[in-house]
Amino acid sequence: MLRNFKYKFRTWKKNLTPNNTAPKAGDESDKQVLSKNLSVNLDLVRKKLGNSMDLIIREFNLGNTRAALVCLDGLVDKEIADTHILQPMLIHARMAEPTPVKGKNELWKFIKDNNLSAIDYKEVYTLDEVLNKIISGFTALLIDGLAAALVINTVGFEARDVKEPETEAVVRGPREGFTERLQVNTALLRRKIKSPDLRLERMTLGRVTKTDICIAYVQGIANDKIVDELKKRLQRIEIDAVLESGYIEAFIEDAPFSMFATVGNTEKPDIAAAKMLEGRVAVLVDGSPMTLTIPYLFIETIQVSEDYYSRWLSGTMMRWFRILSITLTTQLPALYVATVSFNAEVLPTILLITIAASREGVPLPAAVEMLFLGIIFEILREAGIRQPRPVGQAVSIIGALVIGEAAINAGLVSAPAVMVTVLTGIASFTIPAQSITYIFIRLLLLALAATTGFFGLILGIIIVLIHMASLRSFGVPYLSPLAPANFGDWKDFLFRAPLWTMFSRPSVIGWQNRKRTGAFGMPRPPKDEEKKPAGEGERE
Amino acid sequence: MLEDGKISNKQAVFLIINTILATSIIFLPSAIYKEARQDAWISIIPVTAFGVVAGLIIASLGIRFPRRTIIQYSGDIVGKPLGKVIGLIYTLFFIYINTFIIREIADMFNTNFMPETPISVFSIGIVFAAAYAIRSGLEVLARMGEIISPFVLVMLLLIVALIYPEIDTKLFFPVLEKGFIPVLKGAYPPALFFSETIIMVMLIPYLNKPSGAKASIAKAILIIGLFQLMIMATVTGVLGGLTADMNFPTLMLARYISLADLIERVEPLIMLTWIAGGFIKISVFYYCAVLAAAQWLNLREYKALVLPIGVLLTTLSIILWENIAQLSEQIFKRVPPYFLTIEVGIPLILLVLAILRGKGAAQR
Amino acid sequence: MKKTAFYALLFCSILLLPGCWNQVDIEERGIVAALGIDKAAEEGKLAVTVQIIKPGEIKAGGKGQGGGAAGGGEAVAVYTDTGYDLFDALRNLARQTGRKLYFPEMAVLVLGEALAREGVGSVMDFMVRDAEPSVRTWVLVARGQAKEVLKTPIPTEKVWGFGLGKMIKAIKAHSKAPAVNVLDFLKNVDSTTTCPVATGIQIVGVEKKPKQEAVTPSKRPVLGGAAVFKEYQMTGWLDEIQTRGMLWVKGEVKGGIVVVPSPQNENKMLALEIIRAASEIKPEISDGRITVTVKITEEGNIGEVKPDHIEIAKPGVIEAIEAGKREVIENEVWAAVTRAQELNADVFGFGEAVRRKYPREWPQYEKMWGELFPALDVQVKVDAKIRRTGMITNPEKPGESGVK
Repeated sequence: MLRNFKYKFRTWKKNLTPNNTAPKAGDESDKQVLSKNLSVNLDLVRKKLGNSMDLIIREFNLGNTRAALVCLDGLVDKEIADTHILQPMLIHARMAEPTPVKGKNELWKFIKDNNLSAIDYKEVYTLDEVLNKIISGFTALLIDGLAAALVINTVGFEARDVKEPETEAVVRGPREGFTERLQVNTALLRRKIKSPDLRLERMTLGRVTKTDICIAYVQGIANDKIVDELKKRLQRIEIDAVLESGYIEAFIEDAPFSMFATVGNTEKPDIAAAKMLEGRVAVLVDGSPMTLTIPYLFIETIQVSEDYYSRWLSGTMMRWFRILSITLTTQLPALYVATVSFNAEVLPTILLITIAASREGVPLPAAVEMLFLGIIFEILREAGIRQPRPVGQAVSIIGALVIGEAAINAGLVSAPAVMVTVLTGIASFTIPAQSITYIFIRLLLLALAATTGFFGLILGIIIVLIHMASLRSFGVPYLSPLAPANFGDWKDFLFRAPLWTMFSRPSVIGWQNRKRTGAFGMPRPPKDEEKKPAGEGERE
Repeated sequence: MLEDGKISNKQAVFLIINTILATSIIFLPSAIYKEARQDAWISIIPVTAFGVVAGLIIASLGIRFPRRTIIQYSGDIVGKPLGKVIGLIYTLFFIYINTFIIREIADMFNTNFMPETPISVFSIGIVFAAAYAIRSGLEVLARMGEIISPFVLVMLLLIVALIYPEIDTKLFFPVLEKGFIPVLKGAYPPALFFSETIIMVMLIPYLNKPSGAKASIAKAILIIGLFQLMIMATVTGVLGGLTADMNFPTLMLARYISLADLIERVEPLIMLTWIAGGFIKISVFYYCAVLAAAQWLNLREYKALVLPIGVLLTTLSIILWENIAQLSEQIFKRVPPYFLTIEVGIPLILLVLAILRGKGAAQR
Repeated sequence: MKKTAFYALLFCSILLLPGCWNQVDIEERGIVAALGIDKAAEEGKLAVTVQIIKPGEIKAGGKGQGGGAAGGGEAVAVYTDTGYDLFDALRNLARQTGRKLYFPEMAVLVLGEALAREGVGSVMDFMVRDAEPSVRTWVLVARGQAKEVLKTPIPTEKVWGFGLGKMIKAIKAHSKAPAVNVLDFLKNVDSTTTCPVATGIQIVGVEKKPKQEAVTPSKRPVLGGAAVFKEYQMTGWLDEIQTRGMLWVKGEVKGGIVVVPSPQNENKMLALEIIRAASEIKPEISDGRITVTVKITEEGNIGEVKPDHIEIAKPGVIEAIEAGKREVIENEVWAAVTRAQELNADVFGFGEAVRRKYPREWPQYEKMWGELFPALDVQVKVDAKIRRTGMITNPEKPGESGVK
């Protein structure tokens, strides 16, 4: 697998992190091999990095040999560089005098084996590798007379702490979220899944940015076909920059023209871990807390981590409300227009008269009014998000006051239309995952309902459903387990069944290893003889 | 193969249920009631039995050629030229019957909800959606069936549950007032609908387990019979003798629902599920027509035929009949002998010939 | 790319379809609360009256400017126009209202007596053929003009038509009129023997000056009695007692009061509340003669007793009251049967009962039911019970301690 990967990408991706130590002769002819001369090497580094202001080159003597440490300011933890690299070698330089080391190679070995007190280091032989490592925050040790360098992991740039993500707030459940640092993120995953089967495979993407990404899955649970397919798609990517996981999503998703996302994302390690344990694969991207999960199915929009953390009844109920929300946010405006403009008899009499009364004198027809209010609502929402937080609040207050109160009082819009719009908008907030998708559907249905009423509405719903039914995410039907119906998987669809009944993983994804819980683990009160707690006597 | 997709037998059951129930539930009650009066519900029992037998004939024939459709294997049984003729008959049949269905659905919506809108809007709209589904392939169509069928069934149960208090049991008596003859006569119009399992001659090759086709068809027909019986009884109990004169008796049930003055006139909402069910029915026949035509013409791709056949369907559904009276006159009086021959007669003959000549894979 | 093009095409094609065929926003329609139909002065024409809701006025009234009939700002407007048939007249109405009429919310259909006697076939046909009117619309026949009923305000209701609908729903408090909707009516028309009925309504009192009217309207519609139809043609009236007699037979008495003379003092009356009632019609054919036995079972409470003359707690008294009640109910039923036979209108469904029990013999009777019914041998058996006496047993009397 990896060989294949290497072979394919050698041609265009010279800077790929190599897995072997020494380059073979004549292999990478255009890769500049390090010189034996230290000053030549240092000059090359300076030249390659354009004499960058943050380049630090610290030259020193190892006995009578010149050596230099090269790193970039701000990317390295200077504490580590000082105490674990520089200090031992300088001390050695003094102590080396009595027992001079014979030959450069022995010195090299001595440093590696007896001197360096850093845990993660690597020997490299080309200039590019040295540069790549330096750019990532490693420190390079170059010794005069040796055409090799030691790159030592001293990565220690400033990064955000592990904090609660703002996009996925929970009441119950872990608070930690992914950060921008890949190492931290993989560690968070490791801490959730302490199994040797957890696979974290690294890859570097982005011709210029050289972003590290990590494919994470649980061997034996994840579907091999999906993992292979993902790797295949990742290897196809040719892009200069990967600044966020969205760049990758754009290249690997199944239906780029669809309004539905076929790749999921999360900011929380517990969610990523849960999905991996269902057989999904996660893609972590250095520099972004947003972790991709694939395959991504429609039901994941209504599955929230708290469904599983809270008791199953409340989880089930909240799930129904989310389903209701999806229905409302996509269909309510269209339903309103179809009702008011075409078939008003479905409304109870009093409601009908009330709506008719409040619509009296409103200049716009119901359909146009609905569209107009919907657009204003989305503008307000966007404004609220983009503005700095205090201003955002002001936006919503002004919006609510001006649009809500003034427009109704002035008779520009009718109160029911405002209510419908607001309800539609609020319902979309309960399912943040694909809220933009629903705007498309809402507009489509609204347009159809405005032309042909209920007929258009149902036609629109059918068309959207056909589209959804035709989608696949990494080979998995998007609407499963609804269609193709898989009643075994319905335990986690309309109902969030108690955990002790979820014996098996979703069959469409984790079919390789389905067993999840013991045969039947329903909690039960103790049997008769065990019933009495110790120390409690018989009561009459 | 023209179609790479595979559908599960469960999906096939849903497709059959939806295909037969979607229009029969709306149009049959009055046709049956006209003949059998208050014993209309009894008529459902013989016709269900007939449906099961017809389905088994069709399934037995299909199972003998588990990887091919009737267009492909009829030549094997009766010889090439005659096989071509049979293939043509089925291709045209699938198109022709679909024009009825499209017109029925469109007419129903037009009459009840939007009388001023030209009927072509409904025909075009629903054929458009069906064309989209077919272009997405059989698998997608089967999935849509799975989503929509439960809604149709639940909506029927809901109508019955809500209208239940209005049922007047007196209207069921006297039982068998004029003997069994009217009951059997009442079983004649629905026979046409109950043998619409003919779609399976096109679909059996794409089943996961073609050998399970018999069980699937029987299961589907029994469920359909149950629902038809339930609706027929409810219609009789609520509308009594008026059933015979109604164009859409089941819709009248929905119109008559009144729950605490709050849930009233819910028929547009119930209509929605029927339109959805009708969409599946139209799509299934449309698909059969397109696939049959493609196989008959030995094409490699059926997608090219979707548009022309769609245009043909829409146009024919609009120009073939002047009004709904003409439509129901045709569907209940004129066409049944021909349609029944195609739906049951030809498969039966083919089956007998196949067994006699030892064609097909049933030997193993 | 192909797919996007497909979506775009789809979207455009549907948007391009000229919309607005049936699209009329709800406030643009004239929401009809009640429809009244009379015979027009001109020969062969109908006078159609509609009561249209003015939603704005309802909302304004809700804000507390007094919902009285006085001072203008009525929530309904009443229009009348004529035409050669119902649909014609309805379309003519648009000349006055300027709105397309909207029928689904219509609560009542009021037929003028003159028209009803001429035949209401086309009206009922419209009600069930057109998709807009509800088949649950109540059918009333006005003694006099339907127009008058629609024009008379009901002070407790903003929409008078809905007030009429509420009156019909309140029938179960007295059972002195039948509650009949379009579908019920048509179901009886469909039967070869059963005759449909419709609720009777009339205007009582004379118009007072507006000032007084706000408090006690003297001119008001009152429900009561039933109009008897043969097929679509009205043949006569049942008064309130006869109507209840008919409802007893049909098992449609849902509640009401039976006033019974006290067993201990003929001049004093007791009010007995009807809690539930059921009936059974048992036809019998022997030697070619049809006998119909009507069995009515009724249960009730004591509702109101005039003090000073009766000891309910005494053994035998309740039985005596029950006997009295039985007699009253029997009399009501007999009144109805007599009147129906007089009109030769089988409002009870006796013919259908015979058909259900004797399907083989029925065809020979069906044709001559018109001759058979007026002379039909009807037996009435009433079983009336008193279940509860209310919160007290004996009525309170001065100078007597309640507890012994």
